[in-house]
Amino acid sequence: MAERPEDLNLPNAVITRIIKEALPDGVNISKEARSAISRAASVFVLYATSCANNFAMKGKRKTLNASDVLSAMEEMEFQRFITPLKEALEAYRREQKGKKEASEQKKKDKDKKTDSEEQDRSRDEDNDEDEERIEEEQNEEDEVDN
Amino acid sequence: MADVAVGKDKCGEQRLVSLPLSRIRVIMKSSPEVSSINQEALVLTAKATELFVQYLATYSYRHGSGKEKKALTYSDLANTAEESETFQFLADLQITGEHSLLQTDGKLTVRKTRK
Repeated sequence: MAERPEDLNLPNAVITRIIKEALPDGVNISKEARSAISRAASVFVLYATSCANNFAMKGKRKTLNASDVLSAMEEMEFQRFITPLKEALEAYRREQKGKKEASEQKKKDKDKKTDSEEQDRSRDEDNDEDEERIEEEQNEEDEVDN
Repeated sequence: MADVAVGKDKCGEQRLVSLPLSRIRVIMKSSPEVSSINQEALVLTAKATELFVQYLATYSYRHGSGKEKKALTYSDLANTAEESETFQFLADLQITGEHSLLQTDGKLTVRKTRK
């Protein structure tokens, strides 16, 4: 297996914050302890990835997916993580769904706005609604022809 | 691939995951047998790593001798790696040549022996 001297370290600030939030207030964490936990976290990622990859390969897939990661946790005997992970996955999927819908809605709104702006420019200042309607109908017809 | 889906936003509001997905991805991809990683797998791995950090810290604190002094020290962690079955893998893997956690040099590079 090839050795690659990549920086596989996680940001200290984030690791420190996670540790502080997990431990009772007022507990001091030595620099060496923090450093060791950070390295352990990187090792954990590698181990989990390797494990998850085995599940992917068993399923004849080349892409690691969520269920591979969950299976890996089981395999590594971190069953306690499975429930919170499933919850996180649900939350993530909801968020993604919300974003997708929001951007689709934005696009719809943007298209509508662009149409009405073009009509404003081609029309003169007085607000003749009939004229607008006729123009809209013409636009629609044009679209249909296309 | 966008990492902006989850993570801490500018006002520090709690999001799904605090660890940077880009970095997690780098670590995952350093494994030569891995081809590609779906975004959900990336998010879950990041989240699992956070849970792991919490678990390792609290476990080591509870079982360690630093507890009386209200401190978490390096030896608490070394003990955990040696004595706990769950965390045994930290002692098993060879990292920068020698023992896993007992190296205090900055960089972490991995040389794995897989059975």
